[in-house]
Amino acid sequence: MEFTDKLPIYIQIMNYLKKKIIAGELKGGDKLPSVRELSSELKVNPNTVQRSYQELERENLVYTQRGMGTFVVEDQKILANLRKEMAQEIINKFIKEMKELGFNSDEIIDIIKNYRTEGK
Amino acid sequence: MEKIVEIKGLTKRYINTIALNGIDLDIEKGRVVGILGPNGSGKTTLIKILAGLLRQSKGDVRIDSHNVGVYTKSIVSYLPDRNFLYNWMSIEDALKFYSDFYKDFDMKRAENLLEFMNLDNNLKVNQLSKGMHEKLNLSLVLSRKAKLYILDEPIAGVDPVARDKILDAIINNYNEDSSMIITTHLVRDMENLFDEVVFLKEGTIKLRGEAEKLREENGKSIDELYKEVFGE
Amino acid sequence: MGKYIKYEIKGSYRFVLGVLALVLILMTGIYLKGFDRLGIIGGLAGLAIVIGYIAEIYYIMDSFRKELYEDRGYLTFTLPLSGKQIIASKLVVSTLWILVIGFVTMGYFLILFRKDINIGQLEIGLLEEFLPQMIYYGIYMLVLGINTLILIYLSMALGRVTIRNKKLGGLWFLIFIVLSTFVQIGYNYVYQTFPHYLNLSSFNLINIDNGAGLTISSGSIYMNLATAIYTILIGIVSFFTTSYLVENKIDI
Repeated sequence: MEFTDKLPIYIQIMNYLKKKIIAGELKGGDKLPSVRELSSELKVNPNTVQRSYQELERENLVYTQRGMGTFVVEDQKILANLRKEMAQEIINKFIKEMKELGFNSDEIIDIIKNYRTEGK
Repeated sequence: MEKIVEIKGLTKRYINTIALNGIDLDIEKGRVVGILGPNGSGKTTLIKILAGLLRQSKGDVRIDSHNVGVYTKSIVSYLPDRNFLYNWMSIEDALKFYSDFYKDFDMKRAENLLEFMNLDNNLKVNQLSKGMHEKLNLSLVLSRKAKLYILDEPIAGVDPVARDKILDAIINNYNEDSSMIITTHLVRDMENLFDEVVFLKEGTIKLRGEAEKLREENGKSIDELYKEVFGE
Repeated sequence: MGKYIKYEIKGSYRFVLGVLALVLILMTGIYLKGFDRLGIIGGLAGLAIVIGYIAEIYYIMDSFRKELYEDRGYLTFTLPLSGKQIIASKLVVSTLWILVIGFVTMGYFLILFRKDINIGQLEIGLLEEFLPQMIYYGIYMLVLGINTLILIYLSMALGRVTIRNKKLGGLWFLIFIVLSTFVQIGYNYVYQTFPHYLNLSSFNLINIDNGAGLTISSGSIYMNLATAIYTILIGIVSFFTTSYLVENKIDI
């Protein structure tokens, strides 16, 4: 995983995990890698991973069981919300950037339609 | 939080130069601190004073509430930036040596690390390449359950494969009872390991703070911040 | 500290025993060539011993110098050992080697050239009588040797403390000359002020006007008390000073 300079690392790790959850690679009830494992894999300070896990727990996306590890919540509503939220974030960003390029709403919708009909 | 290192007004003067000029630095238990700066900034001088190889000209240096001496040497695991094992030793000899002198040495851990680094116990120290030296020295140093690890440029002059192994070993060595001080000028490769960073320039601390906070506040990586502070 | 002694031996035995073996082989070669005749041949063998000894002494001294100036110092001086432990260990091992080399070479020499030494009844009797003197002399030489070694270590430590620059590493020799001179001056003062000698067989005290620390007079061996104490004191002071410097003052 490549880290960018724009965001704190712990947030980037959170996003990385959120994406995995949304994409279904991490399902409800699945155990996240241990702090040590993940820090080793990503080559970051374990305290940073720890912080990510704590923040995710605060956002009610994961829960920690002492001695057992950190797990993705099973509440489907929460997971569905997460999916919606992240999608919304991406869309907002997309629209903002398109508008910065000078496209208006109709043009944007057209582009998306064309994208769709081109069967991608 | 408990402090493992307390430095106050540390100055190191030589005949013609001042290597360290009034350094104040405290390090808490369980933290990984990066001391960053170009060559000649005083990083190695600071490290060597903590290790007990240099004496300060002025100031207080306390490790685990003790002055630097025989006791601190028993709780500090030091990785110098050079090959310091005796020439006649084999890796096996080095293991026994560490085991003999350091009560906190974990032989099992050392053997595992050496295996991880692909080093054969029977090799002689004077047969090793620079990268192998670095890996061996690091394995020995990290196999001690020390209260303070001091690593001086652990990945400098080392090929990328060895470097990854070394970084892995360092990360896997984290525990909340020990602290680590790592000096480096290769900021990009190591910045994600640090809880805190200290920028040392010409013997004084130019900038200090928690790594993540500095990134957030400045919207930059530590590497970019480094280039700014020491910019050319 | 015993552990450090172990490693000092481990690090040096190869060289020391290697040179020793060479000297013995050389002596054997000389002996075989020279048809077991004392004189020139014995002299050559003696020379081999002396050269071997010099090589060994140089090696021993150099090992301390290496500690102060080369990378291995990074290991030694970060060990949880006091200065006294380090210096004492080095002294013990050096003394050990000096004794080993001395006994083995002398012993082998005697064995090789025994035919020329003609041990007859008279000689054995003389030997028994002179054995205690020989032992005293041996100890005396040994103490002097160790003192010299400590003084050399002290000179090296002083050299390291005062000049940071490695290039002036040979400085220790000058310091050694200066220190030895002062020690000698002190010695002269002591023996002139206190010319009391102890007869080591009968333990009487007499006065002799002689500068030697140990001397033989009419068959008995006499030791100058004051200089003996002085020598031991010098050794102790040098040891503690070197240990102090090594633990508190040197910058590696």
